[in-house]
Amino acid sequence: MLGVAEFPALGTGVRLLVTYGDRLAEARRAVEAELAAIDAACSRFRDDSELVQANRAAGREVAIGPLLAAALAESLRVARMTEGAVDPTVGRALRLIGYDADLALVRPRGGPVRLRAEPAPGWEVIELDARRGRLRVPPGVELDLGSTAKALAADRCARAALEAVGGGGVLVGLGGDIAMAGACPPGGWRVLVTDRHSAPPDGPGQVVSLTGGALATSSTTVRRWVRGGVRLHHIVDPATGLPASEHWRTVSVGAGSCVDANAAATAAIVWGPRAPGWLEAHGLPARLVRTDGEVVTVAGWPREDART
Amino acid sequence: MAALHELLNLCQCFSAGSVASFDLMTRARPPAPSTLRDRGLRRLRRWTVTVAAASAGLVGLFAVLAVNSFPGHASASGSGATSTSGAAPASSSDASSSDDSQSAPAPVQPQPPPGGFFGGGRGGPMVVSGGS
Repeated sequence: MLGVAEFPALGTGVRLLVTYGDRLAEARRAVEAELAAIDAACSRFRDDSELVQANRAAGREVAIGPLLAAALAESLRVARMTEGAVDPTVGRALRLIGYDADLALVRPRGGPVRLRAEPAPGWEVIELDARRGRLRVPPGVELDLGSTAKALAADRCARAALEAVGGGGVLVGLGGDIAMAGACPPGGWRVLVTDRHSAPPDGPGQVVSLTGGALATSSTTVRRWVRGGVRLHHIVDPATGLPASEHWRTVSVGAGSCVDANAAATAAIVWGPRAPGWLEAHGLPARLVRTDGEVVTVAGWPREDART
Repeated sequence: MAALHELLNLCQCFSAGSVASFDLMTRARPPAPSTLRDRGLRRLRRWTVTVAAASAGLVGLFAVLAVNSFPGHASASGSGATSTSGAAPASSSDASSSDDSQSAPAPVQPQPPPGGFFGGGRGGPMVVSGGS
């Protein structure tokens, strides 16, 4: 019997499913432990997080723990993989456009912000020795691991939950990021793919069945706010330091890991029209929704009207 | 008598100076060309060995400095680190494992989902994937 748990974490919602329903409590404990560790290491909004301490080091080399080292290593790999479209050095740009706290605190502020096109410093400036646990962030550079850390958390949670359960199958949904481990239920995990992860199960979108791997969705329709009459969103184009221009409003991508799926989905938003070609070339099934609602699918993603 | 004694002293001094002058003349004689050549070759060999050793040392030193300070580089072992190499067929999730014994570098290219990614199940959704 399927076990299901829902709870908040990392500023979003967690949905945990296990096929061994009687082991749900153990799985949840494992997931909560992983999420707490990720938050303590990678949060941009916690004064005591390792990431904030590293950002404040003003160019000094600092010691970091293995979890932040792993997250940073992944963020550098993602930056290379996406040719810099998903770059951890956009922290300052996010702060300058007003996203410097949890969104619940950002939205009520209505005052104008000074928008200035200024490219992010670029991931190449980060000096990371993951083996020795040493990090140097040049002065003026602020790291943000936002989407990569969340996707990494989903991957780690799925593995940890499966290990805690000791068999069967596990799905962890963390915001829009879904990671699966172990054996899926008969027919696969049923997933509604849509603009907002908070949408009701019978809301608009496409329902697909997944058997393993991961699925992530990035969208400009959530985490939006208005400052000085200007509508802003949280996906920053590192080339400009400003919110990415909106060709696609939502992109969902399937991949071998949630980190890869999330990176590809976020990069697709940044890239705009060139995204389908890249996704197709890398064999990543994807569903891209234009701002006018038109849907484009690539690399074997089921047609919208197909029964899956 | 005193004058005679003084004269004898003067002669002794002259005699000693002559010997010294003779010694100086002996030492100032230029060495044979073969000796000079051998000496020069030995000196050249010493310089060659010294320069070669110093060069090798500097190459090693600069290599270590480059490895440790190349920007954006992530070391490639333990703690889920990745490297700049993208050839190994490990999944990215492996790279972020908490298992410190792993050292396989994560691939730079994204890993596609497993074969048969989309199942044929029917029914209502169990979970939602959307922007967050």
